[in-house]
Amino acid sequence: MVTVTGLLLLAFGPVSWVFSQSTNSIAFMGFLHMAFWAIAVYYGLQFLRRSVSLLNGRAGAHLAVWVSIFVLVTLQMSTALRPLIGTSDTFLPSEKKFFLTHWGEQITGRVKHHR
Amino acid sequence: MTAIDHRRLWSPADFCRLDESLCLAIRRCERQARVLASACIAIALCAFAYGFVFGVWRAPLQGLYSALKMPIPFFATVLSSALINTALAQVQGGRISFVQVCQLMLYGMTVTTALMAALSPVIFFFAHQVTAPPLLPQVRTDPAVTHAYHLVLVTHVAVIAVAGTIGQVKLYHLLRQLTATSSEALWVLFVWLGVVGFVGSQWSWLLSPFLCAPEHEPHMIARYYFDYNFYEYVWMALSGKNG
Repeated sequence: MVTVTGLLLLAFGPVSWVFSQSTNSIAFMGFLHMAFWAIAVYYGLQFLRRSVSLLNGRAGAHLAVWVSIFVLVTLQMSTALRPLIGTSDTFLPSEKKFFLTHWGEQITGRVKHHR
Repeated sequence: MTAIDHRRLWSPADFCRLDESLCLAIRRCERQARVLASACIAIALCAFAYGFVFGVWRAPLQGLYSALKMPIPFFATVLSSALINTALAQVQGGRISFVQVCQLMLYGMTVTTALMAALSPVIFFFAHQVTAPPLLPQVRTDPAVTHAYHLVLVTHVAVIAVAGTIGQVKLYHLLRQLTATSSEALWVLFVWLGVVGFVGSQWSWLLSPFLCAPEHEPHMIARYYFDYNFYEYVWMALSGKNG
């Protein structure tokens, strides 16, 4: 699943590059990357669902819970390892933050980063 | 069985009528260099012709600039979206290689540009009939000229939209031969349309202007288009933030 997701993200690379060359908006690029990530994860999860079926398993509630945890952890990782788009003086952030709070700040422009 | 002609390149007319030997070459992955060369030459020539007609209403110099620029969005869109289109076709179960994806995308664009080039004399005639911008800068804000500018721009957008739709419909017929079911071909076509539309709009935006507004001097590329992208511009226009 991670391989399929990763390959699709890699394939989205040229498209992301085209858009990154003509904007100064971190919010826009963040939204674009999130959209590409969502598409890639969707196909990754489809692959997982088919694989579970092939192994004679049922894609039931337990898989939905597993997927929800995976998605939440991945989203929080994007905040825990920030900035992924902008620049920073430190390798890892010193301030702890929930990913929805971080997104809200980026969209409203309360935190400024430079490309 | 139809044999592939190994001696010649395929013409835009062959692309438009979905020539059997061309389809065979794409399906069997044969004569790939010739298919790609045929498509690239046809797109370059046809887009050049239409580009000139696009910009000539403003000034002959703008016509030359637009003619030189017009093929670039087509090639740039294929280069930047072929990889994701291959990946999306593969995850849907289609056995279409990267080179075949490039050939198919170029095929659709060849038909589109061939239709645009075929319509260019008609468009040139109509553009010649509406009010042209005068040479003096102080009278270029004349409402009649501004109205003509919008009319010519909408006409060009409509022609490109219609030609693009026909190109994609022809592409569907070719895709149908490379996929297992018609629903799979339709799905691949819609996804590709989404990607090409999304990326193509941005490339066209970056290489603007093709027509050039009457109040500006003819120019090749405006640097300020790189400050924000097409979708940010649309967002700002909708929210009234760009004045």
